[in-house]
Order: sequence, then C-alpha cells, then structure tokens
Amino acid sequence: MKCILLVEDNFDSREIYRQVLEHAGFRVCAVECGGDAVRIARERHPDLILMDIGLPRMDGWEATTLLKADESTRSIPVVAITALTAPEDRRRAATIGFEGYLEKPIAPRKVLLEVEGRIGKP
Amino acid sequence: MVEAEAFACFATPLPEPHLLVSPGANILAANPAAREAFALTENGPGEFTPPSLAALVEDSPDRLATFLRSCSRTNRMIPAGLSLKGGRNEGRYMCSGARMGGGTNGKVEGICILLRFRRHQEAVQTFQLLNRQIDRLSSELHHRRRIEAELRAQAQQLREYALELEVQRERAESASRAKSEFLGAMSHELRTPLNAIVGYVDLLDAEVSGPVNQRQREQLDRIRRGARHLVTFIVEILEFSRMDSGAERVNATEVDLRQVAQEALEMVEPAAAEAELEVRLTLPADPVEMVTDGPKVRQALLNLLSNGVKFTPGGGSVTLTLSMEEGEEDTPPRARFSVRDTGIGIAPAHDERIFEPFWQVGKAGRGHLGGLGLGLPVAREIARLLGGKIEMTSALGEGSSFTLTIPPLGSLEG
Repeated sequence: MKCILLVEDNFDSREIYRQVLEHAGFRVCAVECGGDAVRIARERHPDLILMDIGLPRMDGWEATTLLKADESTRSIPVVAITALTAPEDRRRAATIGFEGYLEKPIAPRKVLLEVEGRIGKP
Repeated sequence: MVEAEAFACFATPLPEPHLLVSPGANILAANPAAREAFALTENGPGEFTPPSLAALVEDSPDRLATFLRSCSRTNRMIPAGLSLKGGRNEGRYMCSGARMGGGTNGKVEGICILLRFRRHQEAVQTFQLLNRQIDRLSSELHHRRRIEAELRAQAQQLREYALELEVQRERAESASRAKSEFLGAMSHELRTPLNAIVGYVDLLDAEVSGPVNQRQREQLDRIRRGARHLVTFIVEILEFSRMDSGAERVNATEVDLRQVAQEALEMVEPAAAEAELEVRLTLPADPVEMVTDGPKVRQALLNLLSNGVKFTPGGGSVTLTLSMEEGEEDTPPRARFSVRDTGIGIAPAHDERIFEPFWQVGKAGRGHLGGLGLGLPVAREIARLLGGKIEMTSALGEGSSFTLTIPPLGSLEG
C-alpha cells in the first residue's frame, strides 16, 4: 500500500485530504511542520509528499529545499498545496524543485487525481 | 640752450601742449602741440610771439608768478588750473609744472620750468565718461546680482519641490506596496477557510462519510457554486489590483497562440455547459508562434469568454476565432482573437462604460448576473501592457463581438 506524507498545519485541510486519500486506499502520515516532514521523509520514504507552504517553525520552502538536497529523499515527488498564488510563488516553487503546485481552495477529489496521476493507484 | 634741445627731443611727438618757461614766465621752448593750441610763432630759437606765458593766461600775474615760483623750487610735479585767453583752444587748462634742470652753477637764472597742459574740458569729459561708464556697469552689475539672487532662490525652491516630490513618491510607492501586501494577505486568508468549505462539500459529495441523497447533493452543489464565486472574486480583485498598481510585469516568451486559445476555451467550458451554451473554437491549421506573455493573453481571453457566457441566454453560442492580421508598412503581422456571442448585446450608451472597473449593466450599475465587473477592464489593461488593443462591436439584441489584437513583443516602437 502506497504511503502519502501530508504536511499541513490547518486542521480542516489536514482532515479533508487525509480522509479522501484514505478513502481511496492510500496510507496517510500527517505532520504539522516542516521539521517533522523532513524527519519522517528520511525515516519512512513515502511515495509522495503533499506540502503546505505556510507552516510553523520550518516552512514548506525550507523543508523541500532540504529534501531535494538530500540524496535519500531527492526522488520523492513533492506537490505543493498552498494558498499562495502569486506568479513569484510559483516560480520559487519551480526553482526549489517542487514537482507540482496546487492552489487552495481545491476540491479533495482533484488532489486525489493529482496524486494518482503521479504515483498510480494505492 | 641745452635744455631746450633736450625738450625738443622728447616733447615734439607728444599730443599734449608742453612749454619750457623761465621762472619769469618767458617762453623758452614749445612743442608743436603747444604752438598750435596757443597760436605761438617762433621767430628765432627761443624767441616767441607772444614771448611770455603771462600774455596767454587770464589769471592774475601774481597767481602765475606764485605758481612758477613753486615750480622752480622742486622737480616734483606741481598742479594748477590756469585760464588761457582767446586763441583756438580757449578755456581752462590743468597745468602741471616742475623745475627742469638748472645751470651748473646752481643759479636761479639757469632754472627753467617744464609745463604740461591738459584741457580741463577734455579732462572733465573723459572723467565724466569714465564716471558714466562706471555708473552703467554698476547698474548692470546690480541688476545681474539681483537676477542671480532670484535664480538662486528659484533653484532653492526647485530643490525643495524635488525633495517634496521625492517624499510624495516614496509615500505613494509605500502605499502601493502596502496595498499589494494587504491584498496578498487577504487573498491568502480568504483562501484557507474557503478550502475548508470546498473540501468538506467535496468529501460529502464523494460520499466518503456515507451516502448522500439527491436533495443533499443539490444543496452541496449550491454551496460549491457560492464558494466558486467567492474564489472568482478574490482572483479578480487581486488581478485588478496588481494591474492597477502597475505591479504586473510582462514575461515574454515564444508561445503557440493556438494553444493559449485552446486553454482559455477549456477553462470556460464548465460555465458554458452549465448555462447550456455552445462554445466553438476556430483556429488556423498552422502553428501561430509569437513572442508574448502567454498566461496574460489566456487571462484576457478567459475574461472575454466569461463575459460572453454570462450575457448569452441558454441555447446560444460563444465563438473564439484566431487569425493573423497583416501589419501596415514595416510592422510585423499581429494576432487577432475574436470572441463573438449571440447574447443580449450592449447599448451604444454603454460602449465605454463596460470598460470601467466595477461597472456592470443593470439597475444602478450593480450586476445582476454576478461577478465584480473587472473582467473587461483587466482584459483591456492586459492588451495595453502587451502593446495591443481591444475593440468592440455590438448591437442590442444582436450579440457582441470583442476583438483582441496583439503584436509580437520586442517589435514595439517607442
């Protein structure tokens, strides 16, 4: 069973994505800050990471930069789900190495489509 | 006489009358200027008619004698004013005199006096001329100083204005930045709770938490539409604000405009389907490659298409056509997008108002069909940014046609 690492500090968003992914059959590991994301990614090597940008202590930019710099986690696809929508933000994501960029608000079924599009069915 | 000879040597070429006289006022020698001025004739060496200076001057003999006596005592220059009678140069003379030489035995008899005459009138005239010139120059200098002072004051004034302008400019930029930041933050803050609304509605609709009946499904659909409108508002306001504050930059790359048209059409298809409208796309067979800002063109087209959908009743159609238009003279060909709808049309009185931000047709200018009324202003601003334009033709009840024309970037004049 494929594993998704969900990094989201907002309760509702976290619940919504976790439910739609688990309902589809994925295993979901949810964390609330960038530091935990990097640690879990290194330990468990999820198949895909859904990364919010606005996170406490270490944000999504920093966490993903670390993940892409680390040989062991570099190949895990990271898809941003964020309320940041300015062109500069998209450019920054591309530069850091995000594989995808989803703008909130977004229907969870669309998130599921994006995930399955990248790593296939659970 | 030796002194006379020496006198002749030096005084002959001088323009001013010069005389050599004895202390008793006998004229011993005269230069040509003196002979002419005083009508002297030389009968023999040292013998003149008239023989004495006393004959030439009007002043009392005592005065003349006193003067000559003073002269005879010193070889420093003694000045005096003498009036000369008659002759061709009547009038007052400034006379300067001094002792010149003397016999080797130092006796009084050997003393002679050198006199130089300068016409008083001439002296006065040159003096007055000098005075006038100094006066005039002073006046001019005063004037000039005044002007300089004024210029300095104005320059100071200008410097102050420039500083003031700089302050204002910084204030305006700061306000603009604050506005952008505020709107950016607003957008972010609004999207997060909206995500919860959209998210839970979708989860319920997907029956993740259990089955949903038809009526519930319809209600979920209404919630979803409300949320979508909110998102559209946020997007439009932000886009308009960026345009309005001049923060938008053009990213020019080579794009196939057919793809841009395709994407815009796809984005409006859901709304068109909901309104039971047909959307049609007419593209050239060959690629239409051009250097411009693809995403912005797509946004402008989407705005035009959305408007077409909004104002066309069910059963109608909205058609997007792309073609190339030849430029005049040496200008390169332009791309021409035409959005034609079979909708309600636009009254001539509203021709320009539709491009006003927030203005919408309907009672008291408030849209009854939803939206903020920013689609057209933004589309026109995009056209302007990209060096192009939007034109509109319409008639009430006959639909409208909006044409977006854009040139290749990097080829704009001026």
